[in-house]
Amino acid sequence: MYYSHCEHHTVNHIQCQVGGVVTRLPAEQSTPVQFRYLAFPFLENRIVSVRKNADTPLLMSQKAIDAVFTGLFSMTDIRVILRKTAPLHHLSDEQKEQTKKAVEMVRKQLGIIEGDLL
Amino acid sequence: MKCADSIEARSVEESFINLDPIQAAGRLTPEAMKAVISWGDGYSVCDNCHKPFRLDYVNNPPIADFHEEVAKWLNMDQVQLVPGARRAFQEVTGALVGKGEPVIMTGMGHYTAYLSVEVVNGIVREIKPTPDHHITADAAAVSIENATREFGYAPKLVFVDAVDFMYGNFHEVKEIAKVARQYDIPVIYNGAYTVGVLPVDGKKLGVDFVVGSGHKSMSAPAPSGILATTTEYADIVLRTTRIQGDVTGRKFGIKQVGILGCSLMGAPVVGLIASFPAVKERVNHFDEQLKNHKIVTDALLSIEGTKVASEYPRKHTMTRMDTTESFDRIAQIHRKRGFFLSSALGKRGITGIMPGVTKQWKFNTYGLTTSQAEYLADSFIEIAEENSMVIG
Repeated sequence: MYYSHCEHHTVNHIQCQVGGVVTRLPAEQSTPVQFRYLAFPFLENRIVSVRKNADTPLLMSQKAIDAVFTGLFSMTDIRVILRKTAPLHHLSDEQKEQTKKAVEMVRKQLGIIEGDLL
Repeated sequence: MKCADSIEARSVEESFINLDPIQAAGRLTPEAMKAVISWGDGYSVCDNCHKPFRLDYVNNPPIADFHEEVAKWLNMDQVQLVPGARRAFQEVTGALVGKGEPVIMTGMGHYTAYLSVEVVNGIVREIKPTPDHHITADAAAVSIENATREFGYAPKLVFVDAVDFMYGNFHEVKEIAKVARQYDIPVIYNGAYTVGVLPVDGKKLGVDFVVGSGHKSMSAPAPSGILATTTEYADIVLRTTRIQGDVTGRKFGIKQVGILGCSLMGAPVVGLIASFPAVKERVNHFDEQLKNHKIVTDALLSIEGTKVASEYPRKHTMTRMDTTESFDRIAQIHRKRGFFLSSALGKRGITGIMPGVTKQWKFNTYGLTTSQAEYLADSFIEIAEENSMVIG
């Protein structure tokens, strides 16, 4: 019995039948790895399936991964301030404080990335 | 700055006040921007798709809960996510309208509504707008009655825009729905300019379908939208597949036919979900948006000869201005002709008004801060003064 499991192909839960490319694996062949995205609550529980028997290490540079996302989210906070103050970008004291905090957060994340990856 | 070989990084929203009427309420919330960074990969939301393998059953991210919350929020029974309001129109006409069958459309409807009838080979019969650009229940009754007489049976569907795209005017939705009900005709409410910016209660309006646009009014990436309906029509419009392959015997579970299975994945759906808490809250504060809008329209109206072509006082932040007797007079003698206005605005960091147009033009101030609205108002006055126009 086949199900239309994903949008583009009919798969048999293991392999995509077009080109034999593995797209997704059933839950019993996967190990859930928790990715915690600190800056955005609904992303905190995102589980990414990673093959148990794959050569890929189960836990890579988790700190660096988290730091990349946290840094990008802090940069997004600055982006939002740019939007709210366009076109003159005269920041209020509160916005300056928010920007300062976001910049500090980005710097901190860059330090983590350097420490973890380089 | 480029974000890919041939693609410039877009920084319109960071650099300018953007008045484009279709872009204002679709600008992403910070939450959506962050969600898109993380979930932008093609089939990302399928990480946790398990049996019965359908988008609205996915719990992580919380797509299943989102469907329920949106239905409750609009006071409808069921919701389906769709890639844009137009796909919702198409899904409804696909289920309810047959070849040669009539559909009632407002004369101010969006072109995609017309095309959604054409794609099923249906026939459009319009409701004539009033001279002041409104669609009334009386006019709707006339169109329904005429079509019933012409075809020998009642039209299959009535389209009605809550707020039209031409003038940003409000129309008699509740009253039109009441008329349609007397003929037992289902009503589709086009909320492209209301769902996500104003409170909408489908049951109270007496409509059978509520359509919203994610990228127009719910701060979501394109293409995204929602189709909400009643239990009665869900069985027809959101029906599940029954087809079976004659050789393989293949079946396709509970995929929905009208939208060809799962509808909205990746960035559009997570953006929609991530923005939803802010969207739910903001609909309760539309009056603040109108106050900011008034700052701008007051300034424009103080320029002699300028009129609001839309209904007035304004009830929506998208407005059509008539500057035939003001800015267009300058355009006749200015070396930049009609482009002088967009050029002068551009110099002040303001964009979104169609370049070269000085007779009638639309703008939308949704989402601007009060400071930005004041800056915008001052800019219009400055441009008028620079061109020796009379300020009242």
